[in-house]
Amino acid sequence: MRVELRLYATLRRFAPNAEGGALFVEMPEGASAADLIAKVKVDAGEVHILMVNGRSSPFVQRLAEGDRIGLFPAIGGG
Amino acid sequence: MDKILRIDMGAEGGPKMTEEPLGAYAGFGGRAMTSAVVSKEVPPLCHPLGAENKLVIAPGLLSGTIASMSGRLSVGCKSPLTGGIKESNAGGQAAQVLARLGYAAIILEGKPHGDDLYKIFINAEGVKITVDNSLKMLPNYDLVDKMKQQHGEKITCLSIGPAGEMKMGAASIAVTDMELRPTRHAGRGGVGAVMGAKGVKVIVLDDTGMKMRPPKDPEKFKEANKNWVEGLKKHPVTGQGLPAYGTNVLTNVLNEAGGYPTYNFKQGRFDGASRISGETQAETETARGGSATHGCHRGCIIQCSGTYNDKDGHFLTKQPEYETVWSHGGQCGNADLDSIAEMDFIEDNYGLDTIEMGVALGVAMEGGLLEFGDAQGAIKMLHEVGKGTPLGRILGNGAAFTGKAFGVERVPVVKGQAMPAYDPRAVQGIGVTYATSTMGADHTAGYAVATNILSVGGKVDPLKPEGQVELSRNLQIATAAIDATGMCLFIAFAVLDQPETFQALLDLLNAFYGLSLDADGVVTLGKTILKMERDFNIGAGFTAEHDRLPRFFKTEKFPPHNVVFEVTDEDLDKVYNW
Repeated sequence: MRVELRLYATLRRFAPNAEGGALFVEMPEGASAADLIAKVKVDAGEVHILMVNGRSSPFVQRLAEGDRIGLFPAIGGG
Repeated sequence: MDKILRIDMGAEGGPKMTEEPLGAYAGFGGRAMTSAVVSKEVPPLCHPLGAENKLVIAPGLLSGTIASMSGRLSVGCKSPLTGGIKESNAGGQAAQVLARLGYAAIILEGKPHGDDLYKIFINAEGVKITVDNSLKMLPNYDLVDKMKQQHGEKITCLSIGPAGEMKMGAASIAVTDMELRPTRHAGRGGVGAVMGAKGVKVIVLDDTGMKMRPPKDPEKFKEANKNWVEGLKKHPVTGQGLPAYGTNVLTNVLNEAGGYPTYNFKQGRFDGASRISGETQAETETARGGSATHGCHRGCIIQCSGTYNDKDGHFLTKQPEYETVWSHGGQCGNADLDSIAEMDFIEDNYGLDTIEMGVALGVAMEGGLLEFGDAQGAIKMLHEVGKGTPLGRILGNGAAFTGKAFGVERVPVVKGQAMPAYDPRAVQGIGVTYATSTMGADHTAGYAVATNILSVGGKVDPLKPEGQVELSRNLQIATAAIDATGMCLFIAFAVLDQPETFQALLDLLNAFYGLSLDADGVVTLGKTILKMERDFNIGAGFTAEHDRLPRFFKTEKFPPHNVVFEVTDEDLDKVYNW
C-alpha cells in the first residue's frame, strides 16, 4: 500500500530532498506508524506528535492505503 | 515599583498628575493590577471612550528584575470592542523600563477638554506632559523616529497610530522592541482607542540611571533564576521549537490537524499552508539576511521572534506571528508570505490589532468586498483604514462591525472580538476558552491548544467535548496568575510539563518579595483576578448568553473532520463554578 508522509520542523532533516517535507512511501499491508517511521529512518524519540489523517494516533496505529501521516517534534507557539 | 502615576487628562487647566503609594493595590502586578484598578474604579456601564473609563498600564510583579522572560506589559480598561473588561498583553521593552523607573502602574483618566494631542515623557527626574499637535496622525514608525530625534536612542515608546487617534475598535498600543521599533503591540480589544480618547499620542520612557530592582533575598533569587533558565532551555518547545521557527511553526500543525480556519472559517485545511508556514518563513528570513531567532525584549531567552526582510534584503517587519500569518493568510485565502509581512508592517504602523484586522478582511471578502486571495486588494483596504475613509472606519472597527456592514452571517467573534487561528469545532477546548473568557475570543486566555493538539500538559481529544471545560477552566486560572507576574505566557509550555520549572517560578516570586507562595496560592491569585473581571462584565450587562460561540459553529460541519462544536451550553456555564 502507498501512504503519504509529511515531516515537519526539525524532522525534515530526515528527508532533505522531499519537497515541503512530503513523500509517498510503499509499505506492506498491516504496517504500523512505527514501521513507517523505522523505514524512513526518522528518530522515533524525536516524534512528539503523530497524526494519521489529522487525528492524534499512537505509534502502533495500523495504516491503510492512502493514509496521510504527519510527524512533528515538540513544538508550541500561539 | 512602589508608586502609581495617575494623570487626569480632563483636569481644569490641562492634565494634572499625581504620584501615590500603592495602597490597596500593593502586591498586584500586570493583569492583577490592571483588572483590580478597572474593576474598582471604572463604572462598568460607562462609555469606553468617555471620561469615566481609565487606561491602566502595568508591568508584572517580576518585571525590571534579572528574572528571564519577565518583560510583559499589561494594558487594561473597559474595551471599546467588547464592552467588557480588557487586559491586553504586550512584549517589548516597556515593562522592564517602567518597573525600573519605579512605577507599578500608570493610570490615564478623565477626558481632555479640547482636541490637543499630548506627549508624556518619564525619566529618573520625573514626568513631563506637553502638547504636541505636530504628532497628529503620524504612523508609529514615523512617530518613533521623531521621538529618537528629540530624546535620543535610549528610550522606549508606548504609542498609538492613526487608528488609535480615530478611536477604532481594532486600535492597538505599540511598544518598542530592543531595536527601538514599534513592533510589539497590546493589540486586542481596542486599547489604542482608549489611549486616543485620553488625548495621549505617546509615552516616552527613559530609564537611564535606574538600576535593576533588588530582590529581598538576592542569593535565593539568583539560584531560582538559574533553575528557571535551565528549565526553559531544557524543554523542547521553549528551548528548541520556538527559537528555531517562532510561533508560526503552528501553521503546519493546525493545518495537519484540520483545525486551521480557512476562507473565513469554512474549512480546516488550506492548500497554501506550506508556503506560509514557519518552516518556509524561517528559511526565507535566513536567506534574505534577516533572522529567525530573536527576542522581543532584553532578558528573553526563548527568542521566538525574528526579522523579516524584503526581497532586496531590507527590513520589512519583525517576524510576523502565527496569528498574523493566519489571519492574513488562510483566513483570507492568501498564500503569499511577502504580502502578509507587508500587512504586518502596515498594521504595526497604523496601530492595529493584526488578529482583528485579518479576520475583518476575511469577513469582508465573504461579504463580496474583495475576492479571497486578493492580497493587493487587502493592502489597499488597510490604507483606507489608515486614512480613515468611511470604508476604512468600518474595517478598523473590527470583524463584528464589518460583518454587519456587509451582511455576513459567518462572523467568528465572541463578545465582539475576533477569533484567533484555531477553529473551535476541531479544537473544542479552545472553543470553551473563546466562549467563556472575560476577554472575548482570546486564545491566550486559556490555551487549550497545548493539550488538545500539541501534547503539552497532557492530552485531551480535540474533536470531543469531554474534558474541555475542566481543561479550559484550569488554564484560564493559571494564565491569569502568569499574566500578573510579567512572565511571557510561553513559559507555560515548560511549566506545565516540568514541576521543577514551576517551582523555580514560585521561588523567583518568593525570593523577590519575601513570600511563601505555593501552588495553591497561584490558583487563588488566578481565581481572584478572574472573579474581578467576571464581576465587572456582569455589571456591564454580560449574561450566560454572552458566553456562547456564534451559532454557525453548532450547525455548520467543518471539514475535513466534519465536526460541529459539541460542548453544551450547560457545560459552558460551569466554567466559573469552582
